[in-house]
Amino acid sequence: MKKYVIDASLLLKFLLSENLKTEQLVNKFLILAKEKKILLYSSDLLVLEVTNGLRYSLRDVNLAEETLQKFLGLPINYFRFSPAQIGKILKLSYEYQTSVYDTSYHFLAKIIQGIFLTADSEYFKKARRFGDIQLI
Amino acid sequence: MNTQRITISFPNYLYEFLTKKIPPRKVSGFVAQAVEKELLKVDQDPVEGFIAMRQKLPKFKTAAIIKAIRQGRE
Repeated sequence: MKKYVIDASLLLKFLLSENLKTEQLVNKFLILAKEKKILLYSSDLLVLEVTNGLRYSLRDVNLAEETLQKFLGLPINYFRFSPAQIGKILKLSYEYQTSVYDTSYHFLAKIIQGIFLTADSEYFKKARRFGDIQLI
Repeated sequence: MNTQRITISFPNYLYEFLTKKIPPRKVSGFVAQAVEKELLKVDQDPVEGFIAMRQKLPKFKTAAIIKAIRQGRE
């Protein structure tokens, strides 16, 4: 079964942008995950990043909380990194001149042999040569 | 409306919280409403619920979304 790692930029772009391509693609991945045809993964960081993105995008706290609750129901497998894995993420972030946060999602895709799906074009440009990444 | 009388058990702390907040004659109605609300949530598929949320939210440029994710961290 194909495995995909998703980050906060992908989910928040789906929710908060007009981009039709993103809407269609994320919609497709979520339905495939619901039908158990693919597996979605992310790190524990995802919950805090999505929550922070909602915090600084939405003025209405009730709307932000409702959105957060819907997000928490998604069929995502959460992964916690070991200290050794975090050390590897640190080295990669120096190599690609990226943040540890962004690199952690990409590294997760590598260790589960999946594809990292992101809407962060800046990260994509810097780290695409690491492979197994798709910009949406 | 037809009703059923049932006996349910609450943890002590929750019962105390309930009786402090809700007048005695309104407890049944309050509990029925809360149960109905939760059951409606169970009926909604989580993925469909997330996808439907998109329609309710304001829209922004991608750069503003990425900035919001990182805001407060620098």
